[in-house]
Amino acid sequence: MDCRLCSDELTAYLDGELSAADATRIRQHVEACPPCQDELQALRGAADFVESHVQAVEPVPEIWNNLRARIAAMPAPADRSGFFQFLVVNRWAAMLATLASTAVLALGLWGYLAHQAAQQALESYMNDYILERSVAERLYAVQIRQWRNLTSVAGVNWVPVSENPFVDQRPVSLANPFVSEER
Amino acid sequence: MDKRSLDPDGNTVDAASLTQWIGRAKEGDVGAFQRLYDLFARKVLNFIYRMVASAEEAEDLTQETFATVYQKLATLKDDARFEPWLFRIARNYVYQRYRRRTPPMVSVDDQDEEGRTTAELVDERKGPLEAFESEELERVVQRVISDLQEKYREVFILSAIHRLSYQEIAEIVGRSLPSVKTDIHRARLQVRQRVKDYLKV
Amino acid sequence: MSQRGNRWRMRLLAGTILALALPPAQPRLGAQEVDLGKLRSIAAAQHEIVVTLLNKKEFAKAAEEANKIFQLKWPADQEPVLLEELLRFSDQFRRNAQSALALRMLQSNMGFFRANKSQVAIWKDMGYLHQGMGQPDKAIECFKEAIRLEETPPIKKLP
Repeated sequence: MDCRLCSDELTAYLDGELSAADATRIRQHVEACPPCQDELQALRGAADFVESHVQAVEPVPEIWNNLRARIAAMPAPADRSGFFQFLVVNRWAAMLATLASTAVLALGLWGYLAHQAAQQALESYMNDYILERSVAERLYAVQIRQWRNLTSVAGVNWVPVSENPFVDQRPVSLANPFVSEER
Repeated sequence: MDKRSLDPDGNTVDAASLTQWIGRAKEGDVGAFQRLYDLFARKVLNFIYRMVASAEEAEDLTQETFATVYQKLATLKDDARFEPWLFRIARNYVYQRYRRRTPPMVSVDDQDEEGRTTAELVDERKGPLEAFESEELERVVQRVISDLQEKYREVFILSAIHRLSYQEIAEIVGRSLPSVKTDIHRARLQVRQRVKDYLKV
Repeated sequence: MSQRGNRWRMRLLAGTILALALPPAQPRLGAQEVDLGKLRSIAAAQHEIVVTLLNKKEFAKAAEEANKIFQLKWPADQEPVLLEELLRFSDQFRRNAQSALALRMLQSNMGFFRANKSQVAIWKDMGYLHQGMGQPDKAIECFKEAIRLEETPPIKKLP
């Protein structure tokens, strides 16, 4: 094993992410190779340094208190069965029940399992996306809340600014409104 | 050596109890949900905090994360994947808070202020620090982490501080294991370099 | 600091008023000669018009004016910006309880987006809209369409 290959694996080695065989190979190389030893030491040193001096924050009670209040105001958690399950799966189950011969049943069973896997993959795909969108909606609500708080402060004039993507974000001259001016 | 026992966030719980609480929380049991919060809030808060470098914002986003968890818990099919799923949500908030698909609710000028929150924690001194008290060293570490590009910062935090497995990290960031492994290594190399730079007198 | 922002907004408003006072700009551009600066100007004005109409709750008219942005002869590299704009408008309609209008806007303008990536994003947004409208069947169809167009197909065989 040469040093270049070894050095790529050093972090994974430190994190215990290598297979036993790979880890042994790295260890053996490092024992015989001073530059790699230094590299390993340096990485370990940096990791220790960060670990011993990293700031940790404690969750303040407000977080839970606010959360609790919001949960109370929420509708019941999303339907446990998921909103797609009532669809095709039931049709398959019904179809399976009516199949007579073993051969057809075997095909049906294989088809059913394949279908189940695809169905779950589809559900994951949709759920992941809807989750992303929910996060976006919440952040939007947070922004609105921040805006409302700001506008309620006396004397501060905050206005929702529409992000116009077709305009350079610099002041424009009054004479020709669509030409950006050198600042 | 068990990686979990090195987890500075403490609290390990057996999988069976966790599944039980998740099950009850899915049905709307707020007490069970509180148990989940108690177990994971610190981890989530610290992950977000190290990513955004603002305690106030981290608190807000932690709250939002758990609110989403409560609402969307039913969509979690495999309870064993709760922690990566939780971190995925937190990560979503971290990244999406910059990506505005909506009219910003404050004037253009306010965005300057937001941009400066990273500096809240970091000492504004010019050069490398000279006196090495533990508070200073904490600032060095935070600075080192904040200096990293987001892609590297997140995998660094998840691997070096939260000690999640590479497999879990891959799941959280939605990239392949080899790609994540490379990024983690690169992140650690950068950290090593910067620690060296900052500690040079 | 806020004065700078205010001045900029006033100028933009002045520009919008000017644009509104002029007859509607038909982009009389030859197929070859596409002046990006001019397109952006037109689109900038249209954007402000749409926002104004949204604030006045004139949603149908807002959608009409929005469509005009996407109909312009944009070069391909502008697509990401336009996609953001389309989805941004979609969000605003949806939040104002105008999901049906949002859907129609997405459907009519999808044809102007060439990149698969753009179409995937649009189909997903449509799926999201249908789901919000309590139409899971249609939602699923939209997501399936998105999957078919994905560059790295997440699912091999669709159910």
